[in-house]
Amino acid sequence: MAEAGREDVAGRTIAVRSRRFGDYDVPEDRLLVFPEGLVGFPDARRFALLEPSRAESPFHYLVCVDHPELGFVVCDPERIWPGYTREVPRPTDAAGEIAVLVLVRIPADPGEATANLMAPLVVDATSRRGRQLVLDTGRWATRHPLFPGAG
Amino acid sequence: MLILTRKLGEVIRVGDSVVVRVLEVKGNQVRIGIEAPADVRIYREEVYRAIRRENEGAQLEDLERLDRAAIAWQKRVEKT
Repeated sequence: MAEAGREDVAGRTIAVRSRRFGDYDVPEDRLLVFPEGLVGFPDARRFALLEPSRAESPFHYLVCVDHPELGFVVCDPERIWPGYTREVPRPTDAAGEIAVLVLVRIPADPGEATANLMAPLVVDATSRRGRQLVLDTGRWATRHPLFPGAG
Repeated sequence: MLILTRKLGEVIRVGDSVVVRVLEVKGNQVRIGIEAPADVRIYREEVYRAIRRENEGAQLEDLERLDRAAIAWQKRVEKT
């Protein structure tokens, strides 16, 4: 279904239908492409980054156009951990600016939400190609609380 | 599983471009050097499993959950 969208030469827009996230159209040039997928999700390669439903929210959702029911919560780590992005090593093949996102786990009690600072998503802003890095330095953990002291 | 015996400093090649070398053996610890192209991801097993588990946990089950997190965020912002 998503593949069929590639043939739409007029708009070059991919129409995604998802039971979970609703129907949406993504212009092909707005896709983020992770050629290697994410860790544990090697087939999840093409994503759309959708806006949060509330303007103030730092959370976006990253939905996979290859698997329309697959989506992840991400946030801009800089809004919560200023300076973090600077410490993420730049991929050697990055042509221009890079953007960094981190995956967020939201359990049933959202006050216990955590972000995975150990494995950020690094996207080359020019090519829109990304990769999940693993910062195996001991400095960053997989579960940094987003709301310390909440509850 | 393929099982090979190697001495200190000896090498195993995986395909044409991956080289695995035994660098040091001390008690029950082995130091291993790996040379591989940049697009070959190399992880310690426990790290790989931890990241995969977190990725699985970061899957969005429904949009309502995202909303609740946004509300929690709003509360945090108002507090500070």
